[in-house]
Amino acid sequence: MRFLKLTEQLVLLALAHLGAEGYGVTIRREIEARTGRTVSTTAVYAALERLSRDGLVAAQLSAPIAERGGRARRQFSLTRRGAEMLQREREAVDRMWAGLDANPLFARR
Amino acid sequence: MNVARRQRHAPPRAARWLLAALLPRRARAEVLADMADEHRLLAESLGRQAADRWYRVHVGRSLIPALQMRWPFPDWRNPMDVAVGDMRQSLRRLLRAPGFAAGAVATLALGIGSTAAIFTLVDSVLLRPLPYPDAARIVAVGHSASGLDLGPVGQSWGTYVHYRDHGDAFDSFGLYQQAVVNLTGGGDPERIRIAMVTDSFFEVLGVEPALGRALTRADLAPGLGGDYVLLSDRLWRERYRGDPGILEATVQINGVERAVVGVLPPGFDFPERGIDVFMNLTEDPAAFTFGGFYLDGIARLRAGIGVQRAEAELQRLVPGLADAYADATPELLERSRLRVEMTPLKQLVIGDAATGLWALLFAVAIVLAIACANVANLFLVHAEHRTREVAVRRALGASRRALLRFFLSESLWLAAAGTAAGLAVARLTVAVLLRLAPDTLPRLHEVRLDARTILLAAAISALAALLFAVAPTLRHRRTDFLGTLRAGTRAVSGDRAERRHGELFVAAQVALAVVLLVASGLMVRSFERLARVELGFDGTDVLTAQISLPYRSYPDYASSAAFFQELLARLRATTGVTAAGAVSNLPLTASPFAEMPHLLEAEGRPRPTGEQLQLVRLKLVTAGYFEAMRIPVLAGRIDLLGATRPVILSEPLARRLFPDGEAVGRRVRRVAPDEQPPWATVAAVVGPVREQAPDRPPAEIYYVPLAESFAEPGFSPGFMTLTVRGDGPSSLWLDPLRRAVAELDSALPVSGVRSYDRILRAATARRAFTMILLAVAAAVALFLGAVGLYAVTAYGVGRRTREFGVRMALGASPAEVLRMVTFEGGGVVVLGLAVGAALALLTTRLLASLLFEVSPADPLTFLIAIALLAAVAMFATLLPARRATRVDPVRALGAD
Repeated sequence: MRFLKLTEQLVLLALAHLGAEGYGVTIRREIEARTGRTVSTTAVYAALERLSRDGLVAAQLSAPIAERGGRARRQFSLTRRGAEMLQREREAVDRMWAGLDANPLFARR
Repeated sequence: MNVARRQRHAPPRAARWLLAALLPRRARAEVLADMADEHRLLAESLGRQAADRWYRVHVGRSLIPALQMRWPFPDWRNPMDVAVGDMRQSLRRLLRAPGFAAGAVATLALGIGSTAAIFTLVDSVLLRPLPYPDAARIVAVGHSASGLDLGPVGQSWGTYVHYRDHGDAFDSFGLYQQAVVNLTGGGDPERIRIAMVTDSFFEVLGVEPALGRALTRADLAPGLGGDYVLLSDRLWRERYRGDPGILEATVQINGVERAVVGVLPPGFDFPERGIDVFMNLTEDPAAFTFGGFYLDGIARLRAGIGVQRAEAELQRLVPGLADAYADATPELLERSRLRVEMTPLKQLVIGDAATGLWALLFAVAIVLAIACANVANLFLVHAEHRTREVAVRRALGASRRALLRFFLSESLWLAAAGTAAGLAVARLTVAVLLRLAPDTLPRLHEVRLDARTILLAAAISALAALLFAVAPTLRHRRTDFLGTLRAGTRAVSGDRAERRHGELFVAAQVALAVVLLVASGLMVRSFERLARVELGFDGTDVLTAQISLPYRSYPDYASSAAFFQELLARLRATTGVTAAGAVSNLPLTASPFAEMPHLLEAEGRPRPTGEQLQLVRLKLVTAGYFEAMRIPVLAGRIDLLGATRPVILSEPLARRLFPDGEAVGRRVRRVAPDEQPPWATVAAVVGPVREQAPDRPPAEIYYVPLAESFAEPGFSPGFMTLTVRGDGPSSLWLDPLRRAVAELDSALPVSGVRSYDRILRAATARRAFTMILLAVAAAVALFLGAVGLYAVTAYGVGRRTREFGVRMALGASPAEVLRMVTFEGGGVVVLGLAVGAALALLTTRLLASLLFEVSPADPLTFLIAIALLAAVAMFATLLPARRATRVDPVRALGAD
C-alpha cells in the first residue's frame, strides 16, 4: 500500500493522543501543541477526508455540544486499520533510520 | 447583546470570503465553522486583533490545501490504480446485468457499424484524393461551344498542340482517346477497351509502369497506335498468367503485331475501369487541324496556379488559333463562343455520384442518432435501478466527479464493446456493399476500411460514452438523497423529471424516424415511377451482341456493310428467330464511340441559323432493328433499300423539323460547314425512344441505313450491335449467332453478349442501389425506434405499478388505466411525428436531384410514413400498457 503523507500521519497520531476520538479543531490544536508547527484547518480536513476514504479513520455525527454556537460536529476516531497503518509507517521509518545514529550528518540533540 | 457580542467576534470578512471561494463545497461549511470557533476562542483570550491576525495567516496557509481539495491532482492515489480499479468494478457490474449490456452493445454496434460502413464509402469515393501524386493539381481540359449548342467537348489536335506550344500554365499536358479493338494471340479472341495516349499522359498522372518501361515518343510508328503497348495489370494476370516474360512477347491488336513494353500497376483506373491496353496516340502534323474535337485532355497545373487562372490563360490563346489553323476562321471562333473549360480530375471521376452517397450518409447518421438515443434511454433506466446506491454514496461525501467516474467507466465499457462490434459489422457491410454496388459507382476499387473510419468510430463512441455518463449525473444532483433513502420504494410514482427525459428521447427518435421513412419513401416512389416510364421500345428477351470489324480485313464501308447484311440474313434464316437487326449502339448504353452529334436541316423550311442549330444523334441501322426492339412505326414504311437515300426520323425529330405535319416524303440533309451533303428522303417516322437514360426525355434520332449506297463520310459501320428476337428466351440464339459469325470469319470475336434486360437493369442500377440502402436504413430506424418506445413505456409502467394498483383499488377500471397510459404515450409520439414531419419537409428538398417525377413534399409519401410510424408506435405502447391493466392492486400496494 502507499505511504501516508506527513499531515495524515500527524492527524492519526493526534487522534491516538486524544484517546482515539477528536474533532477537527482539537486535532489541529493537538498537532500544533506537540510539534510547534501550524497545520491549517483545511489541510486537516483534507487529510481526514483521504484517511476516511481509506478506512483509516471513522467519522460520525455527534450530538450538538451544549455550548455557544452549538452545532452537530463530525467526530473522528482512529480505526484499528488506521492504527496498524501507523505502526507500519513507523516501522518503515525506523528501519530507514537504523544504523544512522553514528552518522556524523545527524548530530545528537 | 448576544448579537452584538457575536458580531464583535465575527472573523474578518475579506479573508473569510476568500477562503469560502477557494474551498470545495463539501468542506466549506465545516472548515469555516471550525475556524470561526477558533477565532472566537482566540478573540476571547488574546483579543480581537490577535484573533484577526491569526485568522488571516491561517487563511493564507489554507490556500494551497483548499485548492488541492478542489483539484486533487496529482491524486494522492495513483491515477492508474484508480482507473483500473474503477474499470474492473464497472465491468463486474455490467456483467451482472447482461440484458442491459447486451442490448446496449447490440444497438450501438448497429448504429456505429452502419455509419462506419457508409462513411467508408463516402470517404473512399468522395473525400479521399485520387491515388496520384499531388492529385489536386490534375485537371481535365476541354471546351464548350455554346454558340454551336455543343456541350462539353474535348480537345482537337489543333488546340492541343497550340496550347502545348504557347501555354505556360501546365507542367505537363496529355491527350487520350478510348477505343474498342480485337485482341488475339495468347488466348481466345477478345474484344477489349483500350486508350490511345500521348507520352505525356502518364507524366500528368505521375504513374509509372510496375514492370518494364513507359511509352515514349520514340515509340511512334505509323498505323493504328504504334508498335509498342502497355498492358493493364488485370489483363496481364488474367490472360497472360502474370508471366514476366510478357516483356519479350507481342500481342495482336486488330491484326497487327505490337510489342509489350510494360505492365501498369494494379488498380490503375484512368480513364475508366477496364481499359486493358495503352497505346501511343500517333502525332501526325498533317492531321493537326482545329476541327475534330474527339480527343480528351488532362494536364498537371504548375505549382501555384489555380484552375481559374489557368483557364483564363488558355482562353487568351484561343484567338491565336485563327492564325495557326486554316479551318479556324475568326468568324467560326466567334460564332461558336469557344471557351476553355477545366475541371479538377477528381470531379470528373466522381461525376454525379455525390448526391446519392451523401444522402446515404445522412440516412445512416439518423440511424446512429436513434441508436444513441436508445442506448441513452437504456442507460438512464439502468442508472435508475441504482438510485439508492448512488444516494448512499452521495450522502457519504462522494463528489460529483466521483459519480461521473462511476457512470463513465460503465459507459466506456459499453462504448468500447459497441465500437469493436460495430467495426466488425462495418467490415462485413462494406464487403456486402462492394458486391452489390453497381459498376457505375466510381472509384469502387479504392474502397477500403481504413484508419480514418476507425478514428471516426472511436470518436463517436467516446462522445456517446460521455453523453451517456453525464446524463444521469446531471439529474442526480437534484435528487433529495435522504428523502430517497427514507422513502425507499414506497414512492408512489416515478420522478417526473426522469419520465420527462425518457419522453424527450422517445419524441426525438420518432421525429428522426419520420425523416428517414419519408426520404426512403420518396426514393421508392421515384424508382417505381422510373420503372413505369415508357421507354419507347421493348428489349425483353432480345439478345444483343457486339461485333467490331478490324480495319485490316474490312478496310472500307462496302466490305463492312456486306458482312453485316450477310450475317443478319443468316440469322433471320435460323428457325425460331423472328427479327434480327443491327444498330451502331443500343439505347441506354454508353458507347466509347459516342456519336458525334450532327446538325440537320429540312427542305422547304428556313435554314436554321447558328443559334438554332440543334444536335441530333445519328445511328446506323438495319430494318430488322426496329422489329427486334419493337419500336413502333408511326408513319411511312421501313424501306431502306430505295434509291432515294431513305432515312428514318424519330418522332421528336420529325415534329421539330416538320411542325406543320407530314414528314414522310420530305427531304432532309446534314449541315456541314464546307460541303453540301446530298438530300435524303424521309421514309418513315418511328416512335420516341428514351436514348440516354430512362429519366431523360426521348432523343432526336436520325436513323441512317447500313446499305452501302448510303455511305456517309466519316461514318464507319465497323462496329455494330446486333439485336436478335425470336420465339423463346434470348439464350437460344447465342449458339446460332456464334456459328454464323464463325462461318463468315473465324477470327472474329463476338463480345458483349447479353440479354437486353441486363442492360436495362444496369441503367437503373445506381438508383436502385441508393434506394435499397435507404429503405434498409429506414427499416432499421423503425425497428430501433419501436424497440426504444417499447422499452421506455414498459419501464415506465413497471415503475408505476404501485400507482396503478392504487388507482384500481380506488375504483378505476383496467380500461381506464389502459387509456391513461396510451394517452400519455400517444402524446409524446404525436409530438415526435409533428416535429419529424416539419424536419422532413426541410431536409428532403436536398434529395431533389435523386427524385424522378416525385415532389420532395409529396403528400402521399408523408402520409404513409406518418401512418406507418404511428401504427408501430401505437403497437409498441399498447403491449406494455396492457401489462399495466393486469396489475393486482393488492400485490402492488403491499410490495416494497
